[in-house]
Amino acid sequence: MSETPKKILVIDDEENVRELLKLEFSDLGLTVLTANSAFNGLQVLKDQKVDLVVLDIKMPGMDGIEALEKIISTQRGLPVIIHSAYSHYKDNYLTWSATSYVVKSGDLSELIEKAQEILANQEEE
Amino acid sequence: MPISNSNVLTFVLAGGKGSRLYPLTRDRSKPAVHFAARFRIIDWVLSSAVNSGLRKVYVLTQFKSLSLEKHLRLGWNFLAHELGEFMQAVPAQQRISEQWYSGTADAIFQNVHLLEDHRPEHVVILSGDHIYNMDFNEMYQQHVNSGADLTLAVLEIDKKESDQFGVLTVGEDGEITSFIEKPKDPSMIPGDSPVCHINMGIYIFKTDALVRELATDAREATAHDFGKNIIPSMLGRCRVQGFDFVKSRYGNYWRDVGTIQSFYDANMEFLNLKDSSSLIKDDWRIRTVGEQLPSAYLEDCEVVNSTVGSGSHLERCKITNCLIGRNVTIGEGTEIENSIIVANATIGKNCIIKNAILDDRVSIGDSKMVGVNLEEEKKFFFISDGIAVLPKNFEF
Repeated sequence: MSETPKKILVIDDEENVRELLKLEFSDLGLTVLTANSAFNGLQVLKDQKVDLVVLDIKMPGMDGIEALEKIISTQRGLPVIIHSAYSHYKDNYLTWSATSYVVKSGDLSELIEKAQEILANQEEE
Repeated sequence: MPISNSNVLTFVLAGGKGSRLYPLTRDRSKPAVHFAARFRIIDWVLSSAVNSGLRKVYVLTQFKSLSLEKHLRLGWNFLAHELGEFMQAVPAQQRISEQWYSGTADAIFQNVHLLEDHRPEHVVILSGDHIYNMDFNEMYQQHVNSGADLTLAVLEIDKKESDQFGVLTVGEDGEITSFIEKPKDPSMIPGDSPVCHINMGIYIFKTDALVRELATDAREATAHDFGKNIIPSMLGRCRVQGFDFVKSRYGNYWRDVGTIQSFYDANMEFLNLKDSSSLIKDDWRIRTVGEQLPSAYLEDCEVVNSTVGSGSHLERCKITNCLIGRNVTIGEGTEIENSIIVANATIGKNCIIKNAILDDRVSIGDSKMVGVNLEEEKKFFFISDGIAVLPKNFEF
């Protein structure tokens, strides 16, 4: 087990989602960074090394699909979980390069489970 | 089941630098290099695509693409856009990042948005680097009937000649069971047979399988190449079928033309492929840019086994085993043999030219020798495998 806490970046324009995820992931012992737009999220990724990105799709300005393309091309290997209120983007080929796709709901267990699984796999590697 | 444009999208990979074809690729990419002093290399694959009914075609360009894009605009801008048909050049746009295409798979991955726009069921991926004719309907039919995730065309060659290719093992059911990219030694290839199958760079994918594989590959630090990464990683997990090119309708001819020697040989071969072996058939024609020039004018010339392009003017010269392109002027007393004169060349009087390639707009004065004393000529121009190559706009 690594001693340095794993770092997650949550990119979501809804403040309550960012706060909720910050609380949940912090409880798991993870360091949580947040960004309220795709532009700000990409800036964070330029400045800091993170282990996982949780990415909303529908955001003002640059959307999550464009942000995903940029993340994949500039930070190969950085896992991204798409976390969207909409399920139909799952069919969009541009979202297929995400590591996982979780539809937003009141129950965060699926998202947390996916995040833990991805981070655990990183440790094994 | 013929190809239906409604469910098939085609990509032609035309960004190859063609470094081994230098200096013919000094000013243009490999697919834009002239062939048979009349066509461009890419005309072959585009003609087969259109003749097969593939009429939604993106041509992915990258380095030195101006010449190729001009050729596509002048020669291939004829499909009916209003019917949903197109032959569209797509320059590397760096729309995702500031990176050029890092491999053949990356070229498609950086254009996944085009797949999302069209949502085809199948994707045909072709290389713009090779000389061959192929009815892609035959391969498409096998691909659909077998339910394969990927069908790739394979060609049987001698194991000893396989070190520049991806070598495959094909089972009796057509399934690909092993893949080695550019084996350094023939002994690395499974089986006792002296021959093996190579990957021709002709692919038909189910779109979902293609995007899934590209997306997985994009997340990893690989060469992002179909031959090196995508195909080997699919074996055992996905259904990958081989299509035997030799058994197909025009399966008697395929050339890589990747080096000056192989390019020269294929051009010379073109002169001697006649009747049913000809690369241009009544029912399978090769399109290129049209020429609005008068027929060639030959005055008291001796011309043996050669072609002469329109607009050319030849005076009392001797031409043997040559491909002479359009708008070429050759002066009195000049003798040319076993050579390719691409187009727009001016060659003076009393010259001797042997085993040479003269690219577009070469100008040669009176009483010059090319390909006669190679040691001496090395000081003036490029010699490769005994072939003198005079690049575009060269003056001698």
